[in-house]
Amino acid sequence: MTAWQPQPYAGSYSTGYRRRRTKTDWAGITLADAFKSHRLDYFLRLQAQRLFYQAVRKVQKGVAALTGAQVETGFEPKVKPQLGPCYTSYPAPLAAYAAIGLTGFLEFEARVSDQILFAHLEDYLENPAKHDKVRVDHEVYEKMAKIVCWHVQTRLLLEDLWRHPPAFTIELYRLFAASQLGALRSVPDILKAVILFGDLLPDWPEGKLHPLTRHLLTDLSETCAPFLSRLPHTQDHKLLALGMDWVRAVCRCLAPYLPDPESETERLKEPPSLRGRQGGKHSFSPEEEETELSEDIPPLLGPHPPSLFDTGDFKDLVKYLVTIWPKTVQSREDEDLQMLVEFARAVEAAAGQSREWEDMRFDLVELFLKNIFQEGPIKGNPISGQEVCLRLGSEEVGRGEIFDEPLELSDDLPACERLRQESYPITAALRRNLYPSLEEMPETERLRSSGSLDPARLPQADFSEAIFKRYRIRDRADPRGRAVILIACDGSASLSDEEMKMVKILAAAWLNATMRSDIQVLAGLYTSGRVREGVSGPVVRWIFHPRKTPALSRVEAFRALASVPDEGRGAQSDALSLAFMLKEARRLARGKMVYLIVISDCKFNKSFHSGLSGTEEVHAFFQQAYAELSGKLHTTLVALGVSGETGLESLLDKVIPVSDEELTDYQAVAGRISAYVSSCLRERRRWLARC
Amino acid sequence: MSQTKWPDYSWNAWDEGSQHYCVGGNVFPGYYAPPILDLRPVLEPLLETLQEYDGRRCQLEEHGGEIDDLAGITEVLTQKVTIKGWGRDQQVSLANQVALQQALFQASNYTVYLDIRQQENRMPLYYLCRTHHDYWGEYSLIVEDYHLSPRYPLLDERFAKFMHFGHEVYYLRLSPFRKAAAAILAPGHFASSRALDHLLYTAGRNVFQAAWHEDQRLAVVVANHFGLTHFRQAIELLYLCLSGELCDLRRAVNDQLLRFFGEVYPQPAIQAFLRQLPRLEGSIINDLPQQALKLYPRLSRAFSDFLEKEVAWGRQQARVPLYKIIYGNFSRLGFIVSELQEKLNLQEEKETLENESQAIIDDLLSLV
Repeated sequence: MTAWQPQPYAGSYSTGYRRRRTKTDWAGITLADAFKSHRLDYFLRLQAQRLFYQAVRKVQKGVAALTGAQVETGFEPKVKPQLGPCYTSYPAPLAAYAAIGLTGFLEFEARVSDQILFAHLEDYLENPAKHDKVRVDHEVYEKMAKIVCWHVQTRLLLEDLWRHPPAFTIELYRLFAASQLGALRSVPDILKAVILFGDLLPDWPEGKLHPLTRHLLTDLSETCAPFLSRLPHTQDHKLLALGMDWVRAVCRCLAPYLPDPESETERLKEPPSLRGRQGGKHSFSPEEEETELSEDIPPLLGPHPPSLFDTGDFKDLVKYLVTIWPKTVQSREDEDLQMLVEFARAVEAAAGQSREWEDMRFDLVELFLKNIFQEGPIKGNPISGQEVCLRLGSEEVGRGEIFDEPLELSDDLPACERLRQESYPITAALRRNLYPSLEEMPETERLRSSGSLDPARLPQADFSEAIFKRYRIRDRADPRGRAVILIACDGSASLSDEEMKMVKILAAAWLNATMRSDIQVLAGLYTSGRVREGVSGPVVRWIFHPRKTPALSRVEAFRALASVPDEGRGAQSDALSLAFMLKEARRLARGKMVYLIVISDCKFNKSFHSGLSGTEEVHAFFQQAYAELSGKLHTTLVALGVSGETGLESLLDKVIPVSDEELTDYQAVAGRISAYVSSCLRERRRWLARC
Repeated sequence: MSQTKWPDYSWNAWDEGSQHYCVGGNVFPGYYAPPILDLRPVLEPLLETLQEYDGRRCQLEEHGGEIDDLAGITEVLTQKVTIKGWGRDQQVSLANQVALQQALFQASNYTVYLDIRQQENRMPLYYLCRTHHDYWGEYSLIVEDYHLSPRYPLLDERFAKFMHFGHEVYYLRLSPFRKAAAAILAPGHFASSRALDHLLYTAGRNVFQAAWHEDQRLAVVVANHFGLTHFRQAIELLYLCLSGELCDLRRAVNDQLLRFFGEVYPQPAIQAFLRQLPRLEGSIINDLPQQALKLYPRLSRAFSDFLEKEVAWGRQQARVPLYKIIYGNFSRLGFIVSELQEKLNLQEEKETLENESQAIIDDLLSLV
C-alpha cells in the first residue's frame, strides 16, 4: 500500500478560499443562471435573477398591453413569476425562457377573463349532442365538448400571442409543456397531445399504445390536420371562426367513441371496454360480458385503455390506483382495500418529498407541471429557510424556522414618488445626523485673503486681516465604526390599512433619511405566507438588504417598498422574526453598532412552543439581545395605534407611540420624530464625549 | 508521511503521522474522525432490499400481477434494514427516507448518497452511490455506483442531480468509468479502491470539472442521439480550454491520464490536447482561453444553423424547425431517436456541423 498523498491545489497546500474558473468567468451571466444549482456564487445568481425578473416584467407588460391595459405607469402584474420550469431537469437556458413564457401566458389569461370561444359557442355547448345530431350520452358529450373547447381556445390563444413580440417565450413554454407530456391515460390527454402539440409530437411506436388510444389519436389527428395547417395563415379576425369549426369537428370525431344515450350514469364511471364498433373501432360503451371484475393487475407501464376524463390529482395515489385499476379494486373486499391504502402510503413515504425545508425535487415538480398552462408549485421569488434559536429564560430555548425572500421591485414609479412625498415631513425630521457613524461636520475656517466676508469678524477689520471665511466639510469617523440600521416592519393582518400606510411611510422616511450617510441599512417586512406548495410559515420579505435584494441602492429600495401590500397579511411571529433580522444585521455590522427600529402595532404573536405569551417572548428576545450586544444595540419601537404604554418602555431605548388619531397626520408624527431626534442628538453628544 | 492503518477503502483516512484527516482527497489538519468502515458489508442488506424492490417493481410494471403483489412491495418498502454505523447499528426502512439517509451518512461519513425519484406511475426509483465533494470545484463527483434502478431518470449520463443542503445540484458521474479505469491501473489484477478513486479524482478535478458543464446538456444529448461525435468532442475541448486551470492540468498530465482519455473515456481531441500540453510554454497557455473564446461562438452558430433546419415531421409531415422537435420532445428523445434518424434526412446538415466541429478542434490543436 502506498502512502496517501495529499492533493495540493494550485501548487501548494492551502486552506485559503480559491475558486476554480467557471463558465460565468468567460461567458458572463445570463438569466439562465438565475435558479441554477447553489454551487454558483450567490451574487452571480442575484445578478442573473435581476435579468430574469426584468425579462418577466417585460413580457408581462407586453401581454398586458395586448389587452389594452395601461403599462407605462402604475403597472401591476396579475400573476407572480412562475419558476416551476427552472426547477426541472429541462436544460436551464430553455427552462428560464419557458418560465417567462408561462408567466406571460397566465398574465394574459388573468387579464382576459372572458372565455371568448366559450362565449361564441354558448348555444352549441348547452347541448352539443342536439346540434351535432349524434346519438351519445348528452351529459358526457357536453362535458367532452367543453374540454375540447378549452384546448382549442388555448391553441388559438397561443397562435394569437405567437404573432406578437412576447411570443418567443410563450412558444418555448409550449415546447417545454410538450416535453413534459406523459402517458396518454385519458381522452383529455389525447386531445391535449393532438390539439396543442400535434405539430411537435412523433408518431407513437406500435405496441406502446392501447388500440383505443391509437384509434383516437389517428382519427383526431386527421380531423385536426386541416385546422392546424390553416392556423398559421389565418388572419386574426378569422381565428375565432376557425376555432368554432374546429371544436365542432373534433366533437363529431369523438362522438362514435362515447357512450350511448341509454347508458346509465353509473355505468359511465366504469372502465372503458373494447367493443367492435364502426368498422372495428373501439368505444367507451360498457358491455356486460366485459365488465367482469378481475383480480389481476394490468402492467403499470401499460398500455392502458384511456379513461374518459382525467385521472385526478397526482398526489392522491389511492384515487389514482382506483382509476387505473378499477376492475381490480372493485373486486376486492374491504380488508384488501386497506392493503391498497397501506401500499399507497408506503409508496408515498418512500418516494415523496421527505423534508419540507428542502427545495421541491425536480421529479415532483415535473409531475406537478404536467398540469400544463396552469400555475406551478414554485412562483414569485426563491425562498430559503433559516433556523433561529432564542433563549427565552434561564433554561428554556425556543427554536424555530423562518423563511426569507426579497420583495420584488415595483414598476409603479408614480406610487414610489407619492411615497417619497408623503414621507417627506418625517424624512426632514429624521434627516439630521441622527445615527453616529461617519459624521460630516461643517467647519468654518477663518481666512485672511479670500472667501466670503465673515460678518462676525467684520468689526475687527481695523486690527485683523482675517475677515473672510469659508466652509469645509470634515469627515469624522465614529470610533465605534460603521453602524447598521435595521428597520423591521410588522406586515401582519392585525394592522389596519392606516397603520400599514404609516409603516410604509415611516420605513420610507428612514430609508430616505439615511440615503446620503455612510450607514448600512437593512429593511424588511415580517409576516407569514406561503413558502411553497403546501408549506407556509413565518417569512421575512427584505425591502433592502445589501446582499439579498435586487435593489442595488436605497433609491431602488423605494420600489420594493412601493410593492408592499396596502393591507396587512398573515400572522407574524414577532420574536422569531426579530431574532432572525437582528442576526442578519449583526452579520453585516461585524461587531459594530446596530440601530434597530421596529414599526409594529405591538400585537405580538407567539413564535415558539413555550409557556410564554407573544409579548413575553418579545421581552425575552430584547433582554437577550441587549445582554449579547452590550452597548451596541439601540432600539426604537414605533408603536402604531397605541396611545398608552407598550410594556417595553423600561427595556428599549425609545418607544414612540403613534395613536389612532395621529395615523393619518404625518405632520404630527413628524413632530414626535423631531422630539425623538433631539433626544437622540443629546444622547449622542454624551456618547461622543465619552469616546 | 506514514502509511494509514485504515482499510484500503477510499481517500477518507486519518493519517497518524501528519495528524491530518482526509475526506475525499481534501485535508483537514488536526481534525479527527473515527476510521471509515469498509462500506460493501455495511451496504449489503440495503442493496439486497433495493434489488428485491426493483425486481418486484419491474415485474409489476412490465407484466402486471395480483393485488397480493402490492402487499409484497409494501413489505419490502417498510421492512427494517440494518445499517452498521459508527457507534451503533441502525434499523431503517426505505419508507423512512430521512432516517435512511442519516444512517447512510453516518456509516459512510457523508460520502454515500441515496437519491430517490418518483416515476409518473408513483413508484420510487433509487440511485445509491458514493460521492466525493470537491470544495474548490463547481461540481462534486460520483465515484462509485452501488445501485441504479432501471428507468432512473438520467437524460445525460454524465450528470445526476442530487439534493445538497436543501437544494438540488448536479454531480459529475465518473462512476461508469470505474471498471475500465481498473484495467488501466492493474491490467489483469485487482486495482485497489483507493487507487481507482485517485485516478477518477485526478481526471475529475483536472479535466471533467472544466470539460463538462450542465449548460452543455442540450447539445450533448443532441450529439449523442444524432451521432455527432466530433461536435461533442469540440464542445468538451472548448470548455476545457475556457474553464480549465491549464497550468494545473499541465502538471497533472501523465501516462495514466492520457490512457484514460484513450481507453476509458475515448476523447481523441482531449487526448491530443493533453499530449501536447506539457510541452507548451506559459505564454501559449495564457493565450489558449482567448483563442478558444473566439472559436466558441463559431461552434454555437454552427449548432444554431443545425437546429434551424426545417424538416417534415409528424403525422402530417408539416415543415417544422428541428429545434422545435428537439425542445418539444427533450424528455423522450431516447424513444424517438430511431424516428429522428430514419425519417429526417439530415445527413447534409450533420456533415456540415461535424466538419465545422472538426475544423474547430483542428484550429484549437494547431495553437498548442
